[in-house]
Amino acid sequence: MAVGVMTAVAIPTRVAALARLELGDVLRSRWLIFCGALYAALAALFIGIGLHESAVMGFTGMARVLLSLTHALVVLLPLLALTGTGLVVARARGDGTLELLFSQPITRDEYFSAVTLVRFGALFAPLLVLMPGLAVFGALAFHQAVPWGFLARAIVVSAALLWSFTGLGLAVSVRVRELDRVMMYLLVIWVLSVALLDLGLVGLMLQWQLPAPVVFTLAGLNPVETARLALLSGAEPSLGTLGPVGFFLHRTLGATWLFVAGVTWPLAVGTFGWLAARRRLRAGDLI
Amino acid sequence: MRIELNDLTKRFGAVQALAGVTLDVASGERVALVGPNGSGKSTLLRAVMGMLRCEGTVRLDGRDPFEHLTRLASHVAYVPQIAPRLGATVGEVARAVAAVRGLDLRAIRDTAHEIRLDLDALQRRPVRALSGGMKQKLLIALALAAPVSLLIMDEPTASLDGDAREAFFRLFAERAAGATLLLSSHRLDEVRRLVHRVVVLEGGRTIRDTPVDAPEVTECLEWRWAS
Repeated sequence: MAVGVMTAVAIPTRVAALARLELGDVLRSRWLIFCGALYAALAALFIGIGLHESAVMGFTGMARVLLSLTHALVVLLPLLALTGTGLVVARARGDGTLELLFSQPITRDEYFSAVTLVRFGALFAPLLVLMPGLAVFGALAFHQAVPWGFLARAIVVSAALLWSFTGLGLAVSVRVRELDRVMMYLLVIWVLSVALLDLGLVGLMLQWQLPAPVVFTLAGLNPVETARLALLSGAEPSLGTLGPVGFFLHRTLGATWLFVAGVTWPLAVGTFGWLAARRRLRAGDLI
Repeated sequence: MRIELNDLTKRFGAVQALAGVTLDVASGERVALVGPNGSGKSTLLRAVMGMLRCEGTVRLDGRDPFEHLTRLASHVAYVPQIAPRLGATVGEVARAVAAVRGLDLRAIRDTAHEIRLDLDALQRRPVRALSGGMKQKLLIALALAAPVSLLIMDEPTASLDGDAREAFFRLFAERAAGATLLLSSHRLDEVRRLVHRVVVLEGGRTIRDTPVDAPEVTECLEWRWAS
């Protein structure tokens, strides 16, 4: 009979053990497959309709396909990130998983780090494979030049946006206990993030006679809007392309700083949400 | 490991789960918490595990388990009342527990075998797909695989058949001889065989603290709160 002798276990070993457990859950739920399939379907759609059409916003060929894909993802990624993270802690609390895990010698930070790494990785990894794969496919199959600069920009913006809503999703998951209320909060966050794009806001401004600074502030605080502007920061700065908020910011900040701000703000929002969630998890009841 | 609870109070919204419980359990002592449903037994065990933030103080060998969970959890084993509805497989859970406790996986497998659970055969089975008895055996195997100085068990044999219960008592005697035990139970046989002392909780308060062979223990468990 093997005698169970415990030895001191290093922090990375414990985080890795928890991450393996979480990854098993992600793979079983087919979340990774769903994300990959969705990204691939969108990519196929935009390749099918995009490569042979005329230039859009100054982008042609593969750059246009990537622009269209990323534009669609800017709206979709928040929803995927919210649904991929928003239920994790709330469900683990409800089904007894936290009670079992925290009877083991692990810290709340270790658990939270493992969950964050796996969930963010599950959302981002398929994208990291798909976008360069798409560009290389376009080069091989259609003899299109690979737009490396735009590709890098699209990947960075997507990562920032995913992080933003991963942090917000985890914040909701830690704070709210009932799963139906969690779903409601996630839906509200997503709807607001899509509704508060500047085109929607201009409609509000006209209908409710909102002052322009309010509209600009609301749009500027929306990570989806800022990510969209970061994506388009290399485009010709026209009102039609960027929208009123983007046009104003482009003229005020310039293309480079618009990109920097457009990536930094979603990262900041995500980090704020993540830190708030971690603080709550550290200080509150686990069950 | 010594347990000291001083004026422990916990409220969940309008529900007063614990209302000023004070208890001292010496190192190596075995204590059962008994009482009707909703009397605060499970809440008290979770507070001792450091899973709940409470008013009053909890000390395990002088340390607050809420603040020093990792350090203390290495010396504590816990069998929860309700098995988690984990999607993870039995193998994944066993490997994860072995990794975070620095245990050889064989220790868990051998302990499971002693309580009539074939871990190899169940490797790929999701935990939530196990029967209630199998889940309980798995939790016991995970808890008793390593030597610990404090065992906290919430209705550990509630779903076990007679054979498995006997195997559990044998395993407990073998593995947890010198450990402090805090047990929540409704079963007279379990209480009589495992503990020296019984603390009766009602409405989140301690209403009696007595040796296990006191007549009122039998009365409480056989007549008032028999499950």
